[in-house]
Amino acid sequence: MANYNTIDYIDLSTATQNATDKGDLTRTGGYIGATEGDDYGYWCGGVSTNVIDYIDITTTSGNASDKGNLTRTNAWGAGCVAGDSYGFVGGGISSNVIDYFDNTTTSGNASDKGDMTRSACWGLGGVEGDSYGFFGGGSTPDDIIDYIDITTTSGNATDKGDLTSARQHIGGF
Amino acid sequence: MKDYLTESIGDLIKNRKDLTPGAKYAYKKQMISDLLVADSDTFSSVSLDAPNSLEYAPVDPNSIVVYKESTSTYYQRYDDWTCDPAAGTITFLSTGDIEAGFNIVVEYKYYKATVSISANEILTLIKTVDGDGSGLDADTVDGMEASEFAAATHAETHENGGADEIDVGGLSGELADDQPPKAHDLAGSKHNQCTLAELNAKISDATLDDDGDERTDGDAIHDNVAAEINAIAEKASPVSGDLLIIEDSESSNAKKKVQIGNLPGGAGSDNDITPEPGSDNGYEGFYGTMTAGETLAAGDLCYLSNDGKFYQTAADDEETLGGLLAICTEALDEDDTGVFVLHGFFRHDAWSWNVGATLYMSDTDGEFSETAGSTSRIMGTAYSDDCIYFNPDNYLFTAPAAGRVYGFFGGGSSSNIIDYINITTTSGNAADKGDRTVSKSEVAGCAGDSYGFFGGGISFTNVVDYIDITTTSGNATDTGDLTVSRGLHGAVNGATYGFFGGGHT
Repeated sequence: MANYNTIDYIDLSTATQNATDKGDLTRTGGYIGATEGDDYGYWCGGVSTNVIDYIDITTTSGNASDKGNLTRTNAWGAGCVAGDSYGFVGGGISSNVIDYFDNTTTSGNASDKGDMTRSACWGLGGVEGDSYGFFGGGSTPDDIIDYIDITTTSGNATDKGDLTSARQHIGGF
Repeated sequence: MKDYLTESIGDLIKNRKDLTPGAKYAYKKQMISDLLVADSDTFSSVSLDAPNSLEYAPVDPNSIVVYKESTSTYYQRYDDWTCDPAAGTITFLSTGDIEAGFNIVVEYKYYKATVSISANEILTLIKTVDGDGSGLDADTVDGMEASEFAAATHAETHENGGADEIDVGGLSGELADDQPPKAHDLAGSKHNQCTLAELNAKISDATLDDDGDERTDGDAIHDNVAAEINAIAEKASPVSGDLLIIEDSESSNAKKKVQIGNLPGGAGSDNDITPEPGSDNGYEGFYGTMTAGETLAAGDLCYLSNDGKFYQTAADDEETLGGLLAICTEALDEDDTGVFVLHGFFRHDAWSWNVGATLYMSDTDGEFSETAGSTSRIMGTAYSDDCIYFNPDNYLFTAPAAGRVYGFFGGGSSSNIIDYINITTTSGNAADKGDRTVSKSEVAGCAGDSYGFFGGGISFTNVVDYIDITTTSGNATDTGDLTVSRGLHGAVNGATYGFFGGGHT
């Protein structure tokens, strides 16, 4: 098995293209959640790590740098969503914690916002609107969709509804 | 000596025509006692000495009669005596039979008689001839001499501030100037007062002058009538038949009357706008005749360019979005003038709208749309399938991307399922949108305004496929490949680019 630290990019306005190499994360490995702000993208956690990397998402070149740390090292397989001011990392292989961090800056650690509706959820997909972030699926697998208020830094997740089927390790946008 | 008047003064005046003009006339009988002589006296001639001279002279020589008193003895002129009429003397040529003891009587008429006449008599007589043209001169009037009535000496001109300036109380300035009235109260004024009703009657009869004759400018209106206008009762709800007075600039500024109902937007039923014009390309509302900057068709949505002409709009062309918008109502070539509707109802039979739909500026040149363009302004509402209420707002907005309404979950547990949820609400289940091109777990995704991308997954793949995130149906399509096959990675998106990083195979 090969672990990668490479970062590919695509043009979001073009339907047909191959990805191109932009640069590298600060570490290799999988089960990484990712979210973004207006200017920066953040890779959070992974297998036995609490590292948060960031990249400049306004350019197509450049490596990632270390921003800070999550509150825990068990956030591998966590779901990630983004608000205008904060990025949120929910769940993990043995955690129901929701971390948040400032997604407008390139330094600073995460803090605890609240809890997911279920314990030990990993392999979540995350999508967000203007006010709410949604975590879908995950272990066992299940079909649960939780939501959180992405405009605030406190508060637990609430059940919104169900996916059409129980799945884990889902991609979301 | 005795004096006798043998004729009244009145008779003298009446007979004056027989006399030398200016003379007076009277009789005199004089006793010449000094002529008494002795019987024996003889004399060749004798003159009347001063005491015996005729008292009143000059004398009319033809009137002289000389005789011996109380006798019939008369003495003849030239025989017995002569006279000097001017001197009033008689000279006897001989004594004749003049005898002592007798008085010689001389009777004569004389001029310049001294007359005693009263003022009343004179006044009475004057009154008989006084009147126009009588020629009488008055020495005094009311006891004043004529000289007292003579005009005072003054200069020919009366210059302001000069030596002979006119100084009359109550006047000021030059006589040619309008003289201000002296302050006075109404009770003391000499104005002819009238009530408002009377004033209105006079105004209504203003075509006639005081004599009832036609005025040459019968429709003239006063200046400075603000107070009069303020006093006129206001009508809060005019009706069509009410009249206004206007000054017709196209007819020598003549005063004319206009019915309220004839005014655009006038009172009564004329206020009504027909929301569904009766013919194709008909319009109701505010419109104007303006110039096309290019070839235009009826129904084209146009904007006013900086050259003062109208061109087709397009919601994806920033230069055409702002400012004044209008609907072209007829086919026009470049630089033609025609009617453009600025606000109101417009019917175009080629349209087919959903009634009540909000209409936007379309990305297509000159067209309306029921969906917002790239950037758009709300243009109005569909009143019917072929008629719109054109009421463009002044706000520009960028239409929200459909991906911001819906969130998508793709793959997982070795499936190709793509679910969507409404990310604007906190309840509701996911629904199926379509399928990925591959069935994978450990997938990562990122999205732009129109497309969402799923990349990689396990069993390991480098496939990237995309979906249309503005709709809730449709399968994914292959986009291309990641640089390596990977799963368990993360993805983020910026405004322009999406990034996949980490993971493993």
